[in-house]
Amino acid sequence: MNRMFKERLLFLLFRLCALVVVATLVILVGYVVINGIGVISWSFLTEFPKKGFTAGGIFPAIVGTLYLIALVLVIAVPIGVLTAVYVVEYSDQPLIDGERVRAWMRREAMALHLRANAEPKRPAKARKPRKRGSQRMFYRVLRIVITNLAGVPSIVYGLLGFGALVIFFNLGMSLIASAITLAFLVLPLVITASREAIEAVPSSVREASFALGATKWQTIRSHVLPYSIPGILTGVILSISRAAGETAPILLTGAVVLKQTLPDSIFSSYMALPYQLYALATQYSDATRPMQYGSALVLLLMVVGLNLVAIIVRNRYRAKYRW
Amino acid sequence: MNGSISISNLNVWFESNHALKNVNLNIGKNEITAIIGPSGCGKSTFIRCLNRMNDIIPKCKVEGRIEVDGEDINDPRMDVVEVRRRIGMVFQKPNPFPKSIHENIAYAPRLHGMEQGRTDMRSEPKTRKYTKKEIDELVEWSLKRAVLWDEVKERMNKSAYNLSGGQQQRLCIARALAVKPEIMLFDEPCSALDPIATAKIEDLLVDLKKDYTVVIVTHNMQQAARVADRTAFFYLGELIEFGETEQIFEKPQQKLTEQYITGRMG
Amino acid sequence: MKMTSRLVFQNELEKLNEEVARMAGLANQAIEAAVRCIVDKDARLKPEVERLDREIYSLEQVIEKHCLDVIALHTPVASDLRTVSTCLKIITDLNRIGRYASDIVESYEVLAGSNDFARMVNIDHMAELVVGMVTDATQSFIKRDPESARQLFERDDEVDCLYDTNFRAVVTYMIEDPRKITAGTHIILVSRYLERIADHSCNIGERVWYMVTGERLNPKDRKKDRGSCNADIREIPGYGGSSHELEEK
Repeated sequence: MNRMFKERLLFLLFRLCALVVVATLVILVGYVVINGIGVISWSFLTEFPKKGFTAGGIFPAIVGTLYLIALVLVIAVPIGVLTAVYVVEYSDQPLIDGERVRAWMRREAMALHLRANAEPKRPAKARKPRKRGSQRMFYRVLRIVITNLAGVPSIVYGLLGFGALVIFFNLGMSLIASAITLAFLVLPLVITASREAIEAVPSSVREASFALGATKWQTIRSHVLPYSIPGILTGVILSISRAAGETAPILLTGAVVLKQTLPDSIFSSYMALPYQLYALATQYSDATRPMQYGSALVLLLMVVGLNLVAIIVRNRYRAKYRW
Repeated sequence: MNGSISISNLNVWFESNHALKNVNLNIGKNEITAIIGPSGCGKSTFIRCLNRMNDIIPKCKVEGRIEVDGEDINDPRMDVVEVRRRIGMVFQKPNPFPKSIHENIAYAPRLHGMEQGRTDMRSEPKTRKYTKKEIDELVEWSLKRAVLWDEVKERMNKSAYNLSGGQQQRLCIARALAVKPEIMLFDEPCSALDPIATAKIEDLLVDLKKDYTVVIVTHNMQQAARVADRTAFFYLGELIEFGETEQIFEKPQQKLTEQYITGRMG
Repeated sequence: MKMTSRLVFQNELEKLNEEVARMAGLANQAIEAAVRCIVDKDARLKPEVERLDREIYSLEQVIEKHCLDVIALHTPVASDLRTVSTCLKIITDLNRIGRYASDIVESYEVLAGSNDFARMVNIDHMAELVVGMVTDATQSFIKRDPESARQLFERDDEVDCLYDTNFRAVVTYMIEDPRKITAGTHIILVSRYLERIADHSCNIGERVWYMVTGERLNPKDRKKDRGSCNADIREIPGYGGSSHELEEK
């Protein structure tokens, strides 16, 4: 088999793979669009559901999902970004209390998870008193923990949220309980994306800033963070998509199938698009099918729309701080 | 304001590697002192001690006295930010911030504010905020001092990355000058530049020594010969010889020095 | 530091050394031949000396260019710089030596054809000294030996002394017998040239001292007090003031 032939064959293979992916996406989206487009109308978007979800609109679900996304971002982004800053910039300094508390919280969460599931997710960490020398070890373990958090099944997060937030902290089935749960779910995404963005800032910029007499925080605030914004926004984009679309965590912590009023505080329960879809599809009659497709399409469009906004913002920042 | 530096018994370790061994040196004020030596001899490490940039490196240990104006900058009570303000540094590869030219220079003065009376380096001096007009004047002054004003005055708000290498390096010099240091450190400032840009920067250095004490690390001996008043030769972490540049290049006292400058080393 | 450019530089330095050594050898030959020509009255040596002088002259130009090339291209410092600058200066002195040798043999016709001065007053001795000085000066450069350079100065004093003596003696004889004026003038000229050659040899020695040690010799070391010259006016056998005994050689 001569080389040119092999080349062409392989390229054909690659193209086929790409085509399969694109085709799948097109079919999926197309299916939703085709079936849902007829349902979308202004009234659909602004009315409450009526007659057992066979008429009316999905307004409360839209609002609930939007609130949820907003809350999740408000919680997850600052914590995630600052954790990333700490891990990248301050990892040579001794531990401070905040980090110890977070680490403790994570351990408790894992302990709960271990109790909920029969088989342990990973071996329990040793609890010796931390010496200076094992600090590096701590950061390696921290990185592993963060990555593993991303792999925890979302239903487990839901259970965690239910047990810890709804019951133990007595938040009840509420926006805030769901938001916190989802925040933990997307935290690894934000931390990883932020960390990579921060690490990508060349050290020459930091050195220049130090040589001018800036403190570490001034340098981070004025130079490192602004230049990391595009990367952070990538994390934000991924978080939006997950927060908007996750069903399992929210069904255990605050989403309800039907509520006559919009949520009036973060402590109230709410309706959300993913859960509504699930509920309609599994528990309601076929007559609700139009609303199901409509919800799916709206959800898709919402996520795409929000992502687009974030991408535009990210591009503007990229242009502003061109290396 | 003095500007002379007196270094005694300076030792630096990177983990177990003894990078600088017992260096004793006196750098005169309003002079250009060049540090030469082969790669790995410790010259960059040495110059980074002078403004405590080695603090950033976690595994680095510094011992010894470095006296500037009679104050030991290695004293733990020293405010390292204040030290770095008084002792500016320009790096090997030009590293302007990815902002506009104006912002590059205005950043640090805006951060610190205008000094009202110089104090020792142990504490933050009293400062007041610069007005916008003062900032603009300061930026113009710095760029003029760095012989860059005429070339960039039309595009102060454009990104600094659009400048050529030599212009970027002069921008970095202007940026360092804007905080009104007493001492300027240059770590191989011309090694990334072409000969014309290098010549401009060398002329600038000779001009700067009227008002500042200049220390320059260079691997280009001819550059040291051209601009420096005194030259120090380092080898494997030790100071081998230090003296007037003419003497070092015409009649070096140490055999190692002679070997290095005639190219018969290694 | 690129090793390759220093290898080229080393080669250039060696070549320069060889060239200067060759020029020094030629200068040596020239002065020896000139002295033999005049003292032993050997006419064949005159064109030889003139040819050597021409060769020395063109060699000076070649070496000067070579030195400038080395300076421009390799920027020598410290001992290398001293070596190159010494080469530059020595070739001037060597060129002058060649030139004076040629000047000396110009007097051959006059002196060979005249018996006025039966035995050249002190010329032999002076010539021998001077030839020795030139040889030693060039050897001190080749061997980089500053000590032998130092010793040249004493002999220079002797040569200066001999010159003074010759001068006074010949003037005396010229006053006594005006017919001897032509020959006498040429003898003075030859003495003068020999004295100048000795000076140039000392210059070379001084440069070698600088090249090796980096120090300059104290000028006071060079010129001793001229007044204390102890050379005798050597009696010329067969010349007791009578003009008739010049036949004797």
